[in-house]
Amino acid sequence: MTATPTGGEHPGDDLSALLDGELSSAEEAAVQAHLVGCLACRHEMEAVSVARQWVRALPPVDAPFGLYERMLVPYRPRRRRLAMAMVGAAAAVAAVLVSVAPAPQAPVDPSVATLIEAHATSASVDGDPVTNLAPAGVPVSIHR
Amino acid sequence: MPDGTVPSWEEVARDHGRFLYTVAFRLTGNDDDAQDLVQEVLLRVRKGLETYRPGSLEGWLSRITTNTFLDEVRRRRRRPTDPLPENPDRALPPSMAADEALAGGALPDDVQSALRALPADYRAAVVLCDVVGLPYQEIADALDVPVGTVRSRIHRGRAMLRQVLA
Amino acid sequence: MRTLVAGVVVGLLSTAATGIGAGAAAAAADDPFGRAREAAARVSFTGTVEVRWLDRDTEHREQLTVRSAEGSLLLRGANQVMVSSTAARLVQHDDGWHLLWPPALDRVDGPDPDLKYQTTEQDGPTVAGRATTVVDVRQQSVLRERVFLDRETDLLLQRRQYDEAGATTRVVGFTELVIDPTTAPPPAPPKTSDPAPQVVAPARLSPALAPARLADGYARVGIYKREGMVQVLYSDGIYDLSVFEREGLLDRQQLGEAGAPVAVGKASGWRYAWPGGQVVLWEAGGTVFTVVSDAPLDQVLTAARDLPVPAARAPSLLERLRSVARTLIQPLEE
Repeated sequence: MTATPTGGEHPGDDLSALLDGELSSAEEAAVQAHLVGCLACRHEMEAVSVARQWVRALPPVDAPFGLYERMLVPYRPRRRRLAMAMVGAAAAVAAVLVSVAPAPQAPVDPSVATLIEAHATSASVDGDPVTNLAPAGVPVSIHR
Repeated sequence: MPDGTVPSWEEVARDHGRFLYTVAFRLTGNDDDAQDLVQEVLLRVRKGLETYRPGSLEGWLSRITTNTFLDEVRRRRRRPTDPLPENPDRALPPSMAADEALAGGALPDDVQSALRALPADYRAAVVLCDVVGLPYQEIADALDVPVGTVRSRIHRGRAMLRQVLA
Repeated sequence: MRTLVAGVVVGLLSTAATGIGAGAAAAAADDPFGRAREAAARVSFTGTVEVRWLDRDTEHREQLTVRSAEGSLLLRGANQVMVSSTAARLVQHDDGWHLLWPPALDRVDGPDPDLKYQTTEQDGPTVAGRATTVVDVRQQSVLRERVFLDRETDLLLQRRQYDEAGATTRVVGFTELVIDPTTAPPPAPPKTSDPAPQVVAPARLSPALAPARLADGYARVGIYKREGMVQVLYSDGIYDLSVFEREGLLDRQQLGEAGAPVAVGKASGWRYAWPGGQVVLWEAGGTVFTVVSDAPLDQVLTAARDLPVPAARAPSLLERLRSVARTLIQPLEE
């Protein structure tokens, strides 16, 4: 930084500190005094002040629907091991049958959300697309 | 919630979820990374609540969020710079009210893009100051750097933003 | 009155025949829904849409933004849905865009709504800042639906549905609307490699699985094979109703707790409200049935109960042993 004709240094970083109220009153007075006589620093002040306003004016951002709900719902893992130690005779026989028999057909996942989307897209073809499809833009939550 | 009690993890998510996501989004610049960051932060919050001393909860949360963010930045070799093709740019501004607030003419999306153009350390300092509103000393504590470094990063970060959005 | 020859894709719109309404006949002047469909293809606009629906006693409310131009429409809520200029319908999930209705997939015209409903049209109030025409849809003099069309463009501005007691159960409509011919169309979604749903000729299915008619005026307008399931689509001229059929037994652990129990014939099932209507889910004869519809609940239940139950096969010895084993094993797995 070069010395100004009045002998003080350009404040540089202190300009932002001034805007953020981080300077003591003495420091603040010194910066203000410098600004009176320095066009370059006034421009710099203006620039960072504008950028500061822009960021301060940014609105809050909402998390996508369900982000926290998904994290708050406890995960209930399906336990696959049989507690063989506690099995009575009949259950032991049944367990043998299950292991010997061919694997039963995989159960059908309700997948309600998928079916809703399939329906909404089919229905919108013959009707008003906005009112038929807007509901599909809302996530389906069937777990409470 | 009185500041004298230690909140539960669920209370943090419920009462400060929007705040957390805002900070995460402003730091990362996109929803995918913001979600990852929030999840990681909540894990750390869960562990950290045992040693949390009641005080400024949002200050504490923003410190964790920023540090988690910077840890991740350092861990990654290359940050994704463009949104995935599957995520087209927001067709409409995220909040209608934002346009009224920015009579100066910079749309929130543009400001956010400019923020993303900043180096991570500068971005963190500017977000902690202008999004969270922390004083310099708290920012210095959060980032574990001297106050002078904080001041310099904020000032230069703002100057860069102004240039990008000229 | 609508006329359409089955299987012919007709593009009679004034815009290029690849817009939102491609695939259906041009609407007659007295068909408000058809006019609305054409308007959505013709008019360029952006706006905010609010969806409100009643799920038992709780009212839910969600907002989405809309952008439409040159026959492409993009709705953005927490999910995104798109109508592309090739008349395809796509929905975005975490792993990208999925094609749920490909271009040129046919559906036969539904029955004449005048057979079941009486519609009246008159000048309406202001909605989203615009003068409207209000269309009342009555079934045997009970008001079921009220639709507000923009008087100038015929765009559908708001739609309200009522139960038999007259309570509002659903509202979908614009809270803000900007009509602007210079609106930029939404970006095109990337191509997907999803298997597209396919039309199934009715002759290939047993009539018991896809009856041509269901109670309360529903006529079959299409059968589609989607991944792992069959969708039979019905229409009564105003509402659509899909019957999804999948072989197997329901995985009850995935059901969650939001459903209300409901009897469908001898089967006990569950019903759910979603922002666009009703879902009824049950299993019978080794098949899982799911009915999804935007019709009011009473109609959906009537139609669902009218579906024939597949003849249950006699279980083999092995299957009987297996089902016994399953009952014994389950408590241990809790």
